[in-house]
Amino acid sequence: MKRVVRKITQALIIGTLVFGSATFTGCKKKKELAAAQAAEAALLAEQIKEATALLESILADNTLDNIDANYDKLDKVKAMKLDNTGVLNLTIKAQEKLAADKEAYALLMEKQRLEAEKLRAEEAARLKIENDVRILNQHFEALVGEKDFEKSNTIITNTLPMFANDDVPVLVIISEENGEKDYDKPSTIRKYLDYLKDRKEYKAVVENVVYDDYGKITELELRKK
Amino acid sequence: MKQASIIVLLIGLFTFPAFAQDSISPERKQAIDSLAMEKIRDLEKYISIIGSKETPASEAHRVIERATELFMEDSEMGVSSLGSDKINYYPVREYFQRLMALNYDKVSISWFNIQYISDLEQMPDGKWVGVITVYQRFEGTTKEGLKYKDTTKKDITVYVERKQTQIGGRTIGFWDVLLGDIRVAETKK
Repeated sequence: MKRVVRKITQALIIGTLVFGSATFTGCKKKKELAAAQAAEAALLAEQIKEATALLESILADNTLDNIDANYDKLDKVKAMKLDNTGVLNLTIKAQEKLAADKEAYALLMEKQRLEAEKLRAEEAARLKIENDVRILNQHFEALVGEKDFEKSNTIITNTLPMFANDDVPVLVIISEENGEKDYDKPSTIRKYLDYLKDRKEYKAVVENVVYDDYGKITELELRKK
Repeated sequence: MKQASIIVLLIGLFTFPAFAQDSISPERKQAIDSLAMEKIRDLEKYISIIGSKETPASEAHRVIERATELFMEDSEMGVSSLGSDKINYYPVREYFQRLMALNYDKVSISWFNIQYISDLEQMPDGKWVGVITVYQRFEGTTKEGLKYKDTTKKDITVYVERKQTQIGGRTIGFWDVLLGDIRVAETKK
């Protein structure tokens, strides 16, 4: 009997020990899990906070100067793979904003390119006029100073190719009042060159030159000195 | 009502000439005066070129065209000489052709004392008319070395008209200066 009681007692002790040990281990794991979950939640919250800040900074950027940097920020947020409604909404908005910024930037670049091209063309035209006016003045002065008919005619022959044809109009302003110009009777370049050859006097300055698409002069406006 | 009609009639009488005559500023008038004077100097130069025996015939013919363009149609040029009281008038083109063909070995023609003797005045039709006087010194030398010289005072009527034309798709206003008859006023040695 005693032996039986002892056996039962032993079994109870072992059972208690085994149960108690198992209960202790389960409790510890639960705590660790909770701690891990808490840490994970904290990390997620931190990531959401960081992602939100990045996305808001993209949306708050009113310039077109940081498009590439903002795309890097967006990629960084995407790489976080956050399943958060707020972050997802902001991500869509940021994507749309950056796409619009990219388009606006492309338009701005195109506008600047066209403006630069226009400025280059204007400068080239200005230089051409400046150069042509200098050459014309040289030819006119040479014609006025040349007494020999043949040499005068050579100067005329060398000058005419600058013009679209021999009948290009030459206008001479004799006076101007309130923006209204008074002209001498319009002439042609051929007649005007002959006039300089005969008259031996050039008392005018080139006021305006009009060109055709081939760079030939189609109208010459002079102002009497 | 009757009084009002009289006032309207008087206003009409006094303002009517303004429709025919556009008033222009002294600066503009000065520019027109100068332009007309320049045409006279152009003619002087052309006559000198046409008359010169050093001018190639082709050039002289070209200059005759330019010189003729300075004149109104049917304008005449008076020609005198010391040996005769008679003054002959030729159509300007014929005058230039005769001048070119003068039987001298050397010809020199120059003008001096060029001035308005009658300022440009606006006529009721809007045209401006004036008279410019010039003194022409002619000197011709024959092959034999004989010289003929005279000085002629000539009066040139000048007509100036405001016109418009289209150039490069825009309307421009210009002053068309044309010379009329050239009358011989006096011939002396």
